[in-house]
Amino acid sequence: MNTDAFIDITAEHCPMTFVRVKLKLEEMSKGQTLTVRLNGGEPLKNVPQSLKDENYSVSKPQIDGNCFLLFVTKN
Amino acid sequence: MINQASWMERYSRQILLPQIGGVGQKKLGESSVGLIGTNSICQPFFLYGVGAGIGKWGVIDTIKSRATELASQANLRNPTVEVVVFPPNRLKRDVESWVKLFSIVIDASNDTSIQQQLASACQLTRTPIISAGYQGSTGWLLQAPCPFCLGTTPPPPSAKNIDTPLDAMVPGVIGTLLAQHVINFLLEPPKKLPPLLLSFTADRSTFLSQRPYIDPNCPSCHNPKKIN
Repeated sequence: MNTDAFIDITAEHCPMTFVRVKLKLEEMSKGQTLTVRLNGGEPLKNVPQSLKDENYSVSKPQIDGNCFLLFVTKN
Repeated sequence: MINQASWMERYSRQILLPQIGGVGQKKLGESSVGLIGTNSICQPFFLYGVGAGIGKWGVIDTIKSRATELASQANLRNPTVEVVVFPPNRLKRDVESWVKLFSIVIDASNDTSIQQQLASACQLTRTPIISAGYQGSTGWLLQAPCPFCLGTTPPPPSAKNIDTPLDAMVPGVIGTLLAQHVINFLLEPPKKLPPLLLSFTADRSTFLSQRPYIDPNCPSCHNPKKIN
């Protein structure tokens, strides 16, 4: 899938996981899509939910090796 | 100068808030507040404002050591903000150039001559100003060009406040309210500050929000002139 930007938050812990994604999305324009690489467990549970709470469109997570990928579109 | 990683770490909890985010946090960092006074209202206001990351401060008190002491507390709370202590006579020299240094001016001086100077200077330079004060069990903050055309409210500058533990709560509440009010203003500055009088009466536990009367003939508001 072609997206407009990419961020890897696998080295981060809560709350910096969502903080980094949010700051990246704030730099992007409406309609653009961000690929987020994140760990399973707590980040996979909380980051997509927090993004949905702030009205971003979030894809179902895709497995990427030991991690996951999310595709987030700015509405 | 704080690096990006430290900035994110320090303000992460505020960046998470939908009403602030990264954009709002940067706005706070680029904002500046001129604070006149160091009383019990100023202390919670200053500490919450500094903690929230309002980037630049100018502090004046009639006794300079009080301003210096307040400024030194910023280093403990948030060493990334810049606090400048101005000498007490700075307002007498050229108050207009001083108020222009800031995004907003907060007057907690409780001094009529200073209030009048600031009212005229802020009106002339179109610098937003909020006054705050307390007397006994009542405290208020006034968002209006000047406190001189209000008729009956707020109470006039008072005799000495008595610092009992109960009285100390009033400036604490007003200072906290003021901090939130100023942060809201800096995040979304309105084109023009609407007149507003917020008052708190401790012995009845009540807040009152009013639109204050603005005197169309007030010399400070409608015919501002240099007082110096």
